[in-house]
Amino acid sequence: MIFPSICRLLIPHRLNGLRKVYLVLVVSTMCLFTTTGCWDSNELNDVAFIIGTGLDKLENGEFIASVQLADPSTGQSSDSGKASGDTGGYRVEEAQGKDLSDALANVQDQLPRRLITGHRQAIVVGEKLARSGIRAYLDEFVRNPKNSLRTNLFIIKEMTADDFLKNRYAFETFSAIAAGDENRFLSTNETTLRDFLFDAMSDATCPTLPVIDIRTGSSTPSADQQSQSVESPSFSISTAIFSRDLKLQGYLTGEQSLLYLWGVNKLKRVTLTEPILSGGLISLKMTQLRSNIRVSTQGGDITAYVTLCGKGTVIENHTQLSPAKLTDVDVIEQKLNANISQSMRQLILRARDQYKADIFGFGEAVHRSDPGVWRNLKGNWPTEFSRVNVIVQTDVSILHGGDLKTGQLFTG
Amino acid sequence: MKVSASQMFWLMFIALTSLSLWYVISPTVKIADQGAWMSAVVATVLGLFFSYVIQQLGLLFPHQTIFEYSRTLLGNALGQIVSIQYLCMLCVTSAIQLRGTSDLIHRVLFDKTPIFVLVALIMFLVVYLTFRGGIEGIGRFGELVGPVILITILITWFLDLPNAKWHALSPLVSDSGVRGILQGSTPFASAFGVSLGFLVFIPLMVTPKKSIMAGTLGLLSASVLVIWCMLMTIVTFGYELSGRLVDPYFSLVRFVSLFEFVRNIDSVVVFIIVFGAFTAVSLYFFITCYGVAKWLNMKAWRRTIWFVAPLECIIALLPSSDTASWFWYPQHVWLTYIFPFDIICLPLLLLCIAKMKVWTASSNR
Repeated sequence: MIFPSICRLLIPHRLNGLRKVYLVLVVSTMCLFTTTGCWDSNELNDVAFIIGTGLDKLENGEFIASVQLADPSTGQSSDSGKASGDTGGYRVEEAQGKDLSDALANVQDQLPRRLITGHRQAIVVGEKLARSGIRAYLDEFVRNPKNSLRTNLFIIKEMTADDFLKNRYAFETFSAIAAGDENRFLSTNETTLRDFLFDAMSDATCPTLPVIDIRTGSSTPSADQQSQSVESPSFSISTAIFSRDLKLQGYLTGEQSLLYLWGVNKLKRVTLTEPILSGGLISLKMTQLRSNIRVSTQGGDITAYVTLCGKGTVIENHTQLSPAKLTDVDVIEQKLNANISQSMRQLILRARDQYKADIFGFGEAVHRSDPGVWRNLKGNWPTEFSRVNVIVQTDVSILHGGDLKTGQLFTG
Repeated sequence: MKVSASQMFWLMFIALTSLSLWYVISPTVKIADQGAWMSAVVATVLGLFFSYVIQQLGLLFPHQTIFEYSRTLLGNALGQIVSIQYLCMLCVTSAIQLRGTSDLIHRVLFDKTPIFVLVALIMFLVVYLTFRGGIEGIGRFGELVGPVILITILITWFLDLPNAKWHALSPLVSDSGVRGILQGSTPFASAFGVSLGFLVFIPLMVTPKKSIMAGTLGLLSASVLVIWCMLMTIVTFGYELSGRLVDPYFSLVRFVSLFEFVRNIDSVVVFIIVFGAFTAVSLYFFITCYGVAKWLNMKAWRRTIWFVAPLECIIALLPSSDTASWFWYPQHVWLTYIFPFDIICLPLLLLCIAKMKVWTASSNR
């Protein structure tokens, strides 16, 4: 071991035999007392784990940070404390501050336990703050060595982050964990802060963030379910669009959000339900989703070619078309491709005309394929972007027809 | 006290990787954007050439260090000046490296420990290793730690592969241009200054020719590793963010998450890479001590440890923040003065003089 060696270094050479052994023993024993065991331990009941952090801007413009903390002491007594910010299993503390660190330090001042950031699952930002711009708040997330770039960032639609953290949502005790889990189920990419910075620091792409859209009981009108849904409502995740200076511009609807994620290669799975013939619907479970974006700048015109690919399994069929017939499959695929192409085109045009946001990264596509042209375009990309032509191609094919070889179950 | 070929391989490998992983990636990406890896390739070619010059110079005097043959080549007065400035440079560089390693440990692991405790503890270990083992001890330590470092870095690559966005590498050249790529090669080329060790090591080698080959191979494999690490940071964070992070490779290690299970591997990786930094510090420390002894014509070179070690500790504690050890010294001293003067010009000049002397001697005959 190392101790005898250190001792040998310390001991002058004239010491030998028994005296050397004694000295080694004494030094080793001293090491035993001073270097083993804990003397600055952190016991579990001295620390508080941050599960989620919320950022908000108040009506008077003041900045406020909220922290969702795990509180094991109230874990089992969910009936007792339902006052705001003190529900079973967790508690929420908030404080104002000059900047993010200041606000978090003020939160710490209110608590008897040391805050630990290492287990944070999500950072949520209220809509009001997001609209006024989040540029100033990102520095801490990247600079502070206690933070990780692998943090999920969410926008809360029409609500404050504080309220979101204070509520309990379907299944999960911690709303911050629920948000992270739901996003992971939807998207291939769980690292939203890194992806956000990736886009925000590129030459032209407008970044996006997942947005939490809470359905406050309106979808379940029946009286007996009302109490249940108010206590733990559910939420869906769609996409929020940011401008280049990182101000929230608007939201995509659920369906558009899925198409957007498909377009930027971030969608893991999706269930498509499309009208095929005379309003008859077909539902497909889609896998192997891919997209390819190519932008051509020939002849002064900028044309974006977006190609969506995917393979589907028919899981519900309300048409006369049979997936067992080649001719019918052709019809289904053609109609499917036409529908998807059309919605995708509408989405891209909406992003272009309504939000003026290059969320699909057309500018970066030019940058990558045609760097010489890009150098000239870069300066006035916002105006150039507004006259980009869009051509959407879709290559969606049916892989399996399901377990029925006929059209609808009772006909055909 | 002799160093073997495989020890030379690992020493050069560790010294170059542990330096470059911290100091080179971010400045290179900052200058050369997504072409940074090409800059690193150019730098490798340049660096191996500088290293070759230094080796050739050393091989002309296989039984002497630069502190002896500089007097033969340049005359007594000039030779003394060259020796003194090399010794000062080595002393300050190893002190700043010591401080940089302490700063890293302080930033990542022990943020409540006073910095002088870390400096003193590392210095104690360095002195122990150098005093007990000399270059052979450091070499054996390198043989032990080198493979561990290599395997650790390889593992982090594999764990990071799912995060890669390969499109971040294109367009290959345009943004910074060929000029940017050439400019970007300077930080990594200057890191090849570790081959200054050959100015001292050659008399200590069992088989000089073989050991030099092994050392060069070590430098080459380290470059491959650094180039790949550079690629990985660019495809993980994009060149903009990589150029802004203090050390993007470490951020990458902290970013790794496999199945949400393999996470927070940074403390393990830091622990292992600190071994590498420790080896590099020991290497420079040994060169300084041994060089001082040779310069003063001392037989018992170990005695120099007792005044070089406190001196380095004092120099290491001079800067008030890590700005000096991480940014100011590497960029404003190492890159602007030491790299062109000590690493490129002086060895080249000495080699030319030596070759000319040999040539005139043979033509006179």
